[in-house]
Amino acid sequence: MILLWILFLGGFVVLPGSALLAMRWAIRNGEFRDFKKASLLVFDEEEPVGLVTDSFPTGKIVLNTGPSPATHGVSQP
Amino acid sequence: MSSTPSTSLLKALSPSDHDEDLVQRKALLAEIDASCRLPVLLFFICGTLWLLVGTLFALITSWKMHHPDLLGNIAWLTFGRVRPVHLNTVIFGFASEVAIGVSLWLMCRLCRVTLMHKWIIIMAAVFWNVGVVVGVLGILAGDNTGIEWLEFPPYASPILFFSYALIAVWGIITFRFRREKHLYVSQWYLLAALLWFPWLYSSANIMLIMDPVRGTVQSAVNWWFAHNVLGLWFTPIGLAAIYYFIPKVTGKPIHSYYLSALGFWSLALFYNWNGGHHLVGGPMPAWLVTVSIVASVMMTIPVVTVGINHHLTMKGSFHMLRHSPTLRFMVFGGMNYTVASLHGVLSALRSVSEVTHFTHHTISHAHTGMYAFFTMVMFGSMYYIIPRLTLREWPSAMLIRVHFWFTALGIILYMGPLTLGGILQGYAMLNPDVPFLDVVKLTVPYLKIRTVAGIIIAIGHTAFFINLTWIILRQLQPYRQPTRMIIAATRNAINPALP
Amino acid sequence: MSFDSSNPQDPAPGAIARQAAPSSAFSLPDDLPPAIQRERPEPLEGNHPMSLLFVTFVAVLFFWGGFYLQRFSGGYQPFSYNENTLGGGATNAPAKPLDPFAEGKRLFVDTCAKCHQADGQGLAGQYPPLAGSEWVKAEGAARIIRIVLDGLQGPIKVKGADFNNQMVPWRDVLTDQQIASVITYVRGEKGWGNNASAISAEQVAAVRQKTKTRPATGSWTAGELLKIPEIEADMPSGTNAPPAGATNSVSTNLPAAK
Repeated sequence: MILLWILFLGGFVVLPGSALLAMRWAIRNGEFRDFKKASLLVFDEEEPVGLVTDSFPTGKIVLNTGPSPATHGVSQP
Repeated sequence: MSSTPSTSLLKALSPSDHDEDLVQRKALLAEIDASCRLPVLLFFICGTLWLLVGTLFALITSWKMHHPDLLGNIAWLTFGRVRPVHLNTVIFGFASEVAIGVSLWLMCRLCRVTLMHKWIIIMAAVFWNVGVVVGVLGILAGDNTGIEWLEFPPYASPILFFSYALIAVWGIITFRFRREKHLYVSQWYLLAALLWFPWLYSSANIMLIMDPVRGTVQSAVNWWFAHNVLGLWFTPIGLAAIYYFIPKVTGKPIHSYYLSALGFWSLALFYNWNGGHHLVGGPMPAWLVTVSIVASVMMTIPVVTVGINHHLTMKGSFHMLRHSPTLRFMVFGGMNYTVASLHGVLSALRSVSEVTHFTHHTISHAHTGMYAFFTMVMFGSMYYIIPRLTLREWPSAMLIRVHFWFTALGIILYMGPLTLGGILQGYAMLNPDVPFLDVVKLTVPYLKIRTVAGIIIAIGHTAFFINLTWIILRQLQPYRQPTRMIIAATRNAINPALP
Repeated sequence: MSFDSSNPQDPAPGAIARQAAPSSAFSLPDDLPPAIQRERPEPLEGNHPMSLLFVTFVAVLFFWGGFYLQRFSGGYQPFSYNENTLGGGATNAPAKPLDPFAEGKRLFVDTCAKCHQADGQGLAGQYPPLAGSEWVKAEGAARIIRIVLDGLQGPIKVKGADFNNQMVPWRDVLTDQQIASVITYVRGEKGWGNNASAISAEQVAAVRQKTKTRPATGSWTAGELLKIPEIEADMPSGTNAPPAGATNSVSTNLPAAK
C-alpha cells in the first residue's frame, strides 16, 4: 500500500513536475529559439548537407541531385 | 580510445573541463563509431538472434491457430506458453535490444562524444540477455504471470530492470558529457523514452505483480502499461531514428523544426492516456474510457505532424529509395507509423471498438505498429549503423533486397486479410444467432493466410541473419575501405573547399 | 586512396554515378566538374512555419475533444458506467428488481447444465432429466430444496427410468436466493413442460436451517426423501416476490446481448 502511495505521488507530483522542469530547461537552453541551427545538427564537417551517406553495396556513389531545399519556396521569417 | 578523456564514473557525473583539442574534430565520427563498436554490435547480434527465436515461436503459434493439435501434447509447447514466448522474445529480446543499440549510437553521435564507460553497457547487455533467457524459460516452465505484456515471471523482471538502470545511468552520464549544447529532436525522443520506460515498467510490476491492485483497476493498469510500452518506449525510439536517418541519408535537413517540436510535445502530452480505450464496454467509469478516447483521437496531432514533416523532407528525394537500403526501410516504417496510428485512432472510437475488440483485428493492428513501423525502422537503422561499426560493406545487395521485399510484402499480406477477418469476426460475434464455433470457422482462412505471411517474413529474417553473420565474419578478413566510407572520404575530392 | 572494392565493375576513382532529376531547376549539366555540382544553395529547411490549414485542424480537434469529453463522461461519476447518461448514472437510477427466473436460468447454465444438460433432459442412464420430472414438478418444494442443498446418492426412479449416481451438495456454494432462483427456473421452464410454482428464498432458508446437521450424515437417498411430505406444514409461503432490496447484482454487470 505504501508503494501505491509512492506511485500516486510520483504520478501526480513528480512526473508532471519533472516535465515542467524539462520544458523550462529546454526554453532556457534555447531549444525553441534557433530552429535552423537545430535542424542542421545531424550534419557536420565529415558528413555535410547535400552528401548522400547510404547506398546499396554496389560501389556506386550517389549524389542527391533532386530538387534543392530552396525550391520549396518558403522564405525565411 | 586514446583520445577519449580518461574519466572516472565520479568525474563523469560532474564534467568540468574536457579538452576539446584532445579529439581531432575531423576524425570525430570515426572515433565515435569505433567506440560504439563492441557494445552496440553486442545488442544488435543478440537482438537478431532473439528475432529468429521469436519468429520461430510466432510460426508455431500461428500454425496452432488453425491446427490446434500441433505439438499439443508437449506441455511447454502448448499455445498458452508459446504465444507469450513469442510476444516477450520479440518485445524484450529483439525490439528492446536493437532499440537500445540504436539509441546508444544515436546518443553518442548527437552528443558528439565517444561511448564512455563501455563496461556499463556490456554488463547491461549481458544482464538484459540473462533476464530474457530466464523469463522465456520461466514462461515455458509454466510460470507465466498471466498479465499481457508482463508475462515474464517475477524473478526475471528485476534482472531486466537492473540492466535497464545501468543503461539509464549511462544515458545520463553521456548527456551530461555532451559536446553539443543544442539538442536535436531525436535526442528529445531518446531522452524521453529513457525516462518513460523505467516509470512504466516499475509501476506496472509493482501494481500488478508485487503488490497487486484489486479488481478492474488491474485491467486499467495492464492496458495503460501494454499500450504505453509501444507508445512511450518503442515509438519515440523509432521516431528518433527516422528523424535522424532521413535527413542524414538524403543530405537534406528536416523540413520544419517547428513541426518536430509540436510533434514531440503533443506525443508526450497525449499518448500516456491512450490505454483505456481497450476497456470500452468494460465495467470502468465512463469518464475514464472517454478521456482515453479523446486522448487517442488527439494523437492525430503528433501523427499528422510527423507524417507531414517526413513526407516534405522526403519530397524530391523519393528516387533515392532505389539506392539506399536504409531509406527504404525508414520510409516504409514512417508510412506505416501514420497508417498504424490513424488506424488506432479509428479503433479507439466506441462504435468501432465494439466490433473490433476481442478479434484478430487487434492483433493485426499491434503488428502494424510493432512490425510494419518499428521493426522496419530498426532494420533500416542497422543497415546504416553496422557498416560504420564493422568498417565493412554489407556483403550482399541481393540479400538486402530479399530482406526488404519479403518482410515488406509479408507484413502487408499479414495486415490486410487479418484486419478484414477481424472485422468480419467482430460482426459475427455480435450476432447472437451465429454459434461461436461458426465464428471460429469463419476466421480460419484468414489465420492460414497469416501463417503464409509469417513464413514469408521468416525468409526475410533469414536473409538478414545471413547477411549479418557474413559481415561479422568479414571482420576476419583484411581491411578494405568500403564504398560507404569512401563516400565520406571522397568528399574532399568532390569539394575541397569544405573544411 | 583507392577504390579497392571486391566488385570488378566498380567505377574508376572519382567517377560518380549521378541520379539526375532533369526537371529540377537545379539540375546541372553532366559534364560540370563534381566540385561545382556539389555546390548547392544554402538550405532553408528547418524553419518552415506550420500551415494555417493544419493549425485550424488542430483547433477543430481540440474543440471536438472538449465536447466529447463533456458529453460522454456520465457526469464524471465514479459509478457511472454508461457514457450516455448525462450525470448521476447508476447511483441515481433505481435498483433493478431481481428477476428470479432470469437469474435462475443463468445459474442453471453455469452450474446444473453440465450434468442435466441445457435442455433439461439429462443423460439416459447417468443423469436424471429435470424436464417433466415428477420430483421437480411436485406440488411442494421440500424435497427438491433438500436435494440441491445436500445432494443425492443411490438409486432413484425418475419418469419411470432408474438412475444410480451421485449429485454434489450446493449448500456452501449457493445462497438462499440463488437456490430459490434456480429451483424457480427449473420448476417453471415451460419449454420443458414444467409449470410448477415459484419458491422463495425464505423457504430455502427455512429448510437450510432445519437440515443444518445433514452434511454430517451425507447426501440424501430417494428413500429418505420419500418419507418427507412434499408440502411441509411449517414452510413459509411460496411467493415469487424477491426479498425487499434484493438486486440482481451479478447479472446487470454482464453486457446486454446485442
